[in-house]
Amino acid sequence: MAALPGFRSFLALSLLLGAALPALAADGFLKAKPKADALLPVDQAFQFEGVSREAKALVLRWSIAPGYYLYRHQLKVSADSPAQLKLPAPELPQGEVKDDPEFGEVQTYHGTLTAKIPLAAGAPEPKTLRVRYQGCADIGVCYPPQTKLVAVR
Amino acid sequence: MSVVLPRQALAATLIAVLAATGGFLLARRLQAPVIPEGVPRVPSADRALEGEPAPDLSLNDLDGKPRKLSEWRGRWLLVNFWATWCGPCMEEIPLLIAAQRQHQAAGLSVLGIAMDDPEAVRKAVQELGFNYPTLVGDEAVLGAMEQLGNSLGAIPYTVLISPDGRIRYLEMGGIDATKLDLLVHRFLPAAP
Repeated sequence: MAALPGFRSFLALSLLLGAALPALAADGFLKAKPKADALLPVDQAFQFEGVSREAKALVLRWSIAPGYYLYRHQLKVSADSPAQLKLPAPELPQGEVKDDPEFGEVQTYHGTLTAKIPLAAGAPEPKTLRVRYQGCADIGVCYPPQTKLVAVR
Repeated sequence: MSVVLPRQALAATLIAVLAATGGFLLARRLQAPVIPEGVPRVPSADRALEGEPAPDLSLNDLDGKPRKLSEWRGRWLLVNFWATWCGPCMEEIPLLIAAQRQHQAAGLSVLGIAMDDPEAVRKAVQELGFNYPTLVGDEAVLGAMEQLGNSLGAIPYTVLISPDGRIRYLEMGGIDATKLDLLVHRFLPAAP
C-alpha cells in the first residue's frame, strides 16, 4: 500500500520526535560532565558565593555539592579590613547533628548554608572579610580549611 | 496539503510514543546511578604513579628539622597524610600505630605527614601515643601530596613506597584493618 506523501512526512516527524525525546530525557547526555563518582575540587564541593550587604546584616552564602558537608564549628568570620574591627559571631542555622567518632556531637550542613553577621545601626562596618570554612565528603575524606578574603559590597 | 488517513496517523502516533518511551527508559537505564548523580563514591588517586620513583620530598619534622623521604630508603615506607581537623584521618591513627609496632621487624616504617598547625599536631602525637615520626606543614604538604598523585588535597591519603624508592600503592580515603593487612601481606611477604 502506497502511503500518502503527508503520511511519510508525519511518520518522519514522529520518528524524529521519538528520537529526540530520549536525548531531552537524558538531560545533557551529550554534554561533557565530570565523572559522576569522582571527588570534586574543593571550590566545587563548597562553592562560597560571597557576602552581600542586607538591611541589618552581612549575609554569606555557600552552595554545597551533594555528598559533601561543611562543619559548623569550623566556620570563622573576621574583619580583614579594618583588621582591628571586632565582628559579632555569625548567626548560623541549626545544622544536622552528627555523632562524629573523633569530635563527638558536631553540626554539619549539606546543600546550602547562609550565615548572617548582625550589624548594629551606626556601628563601623568591615570593608573586607576573612572567611574560613572546612568540610568533608560523606565517603570519608576531608578537605583542608579554606580561607577567603572577600570585599563587602 | 495532503490528508492523513486516521489509521496511518494512529500508527505513526503509536510508533512515536513507543520510540519516545523506549528511548526514555533506555536513557534512564544508561544513566541510572545507584548513588544520586554527582555524589562521589570512588575517591581519586593517580594510580598511573604506581611503579614510578617517588619524589624526594623534604618537609620539616616537629622540631623544625628538614627531613627527606630518601632517609627511609631501604625500608617499606607507608606515608600517611593526615590532620587533626580530619575525623577519618584521626580514626585510622591507632591502626597505623599498630602497623608500625607489628611490621617494623618486617621492614615497614610508617611516616605521618600532617597538613596542620604544629602545636595541634604535637598535642595529638602525645595524646595518641604515636610510635612513628610525623612531618608537618601547610602549603608544602599540599605540594607534597600533589607530587604523590593527590591534586585535590583531600585526606586521609596514604602512599606505600618500596625500599628502592618506588611508589607501589596509593589510597585516597580511610584504610581499615583488612585493607592494611592485605597491603602488608601483598608487599611484605616476610610479614608475620
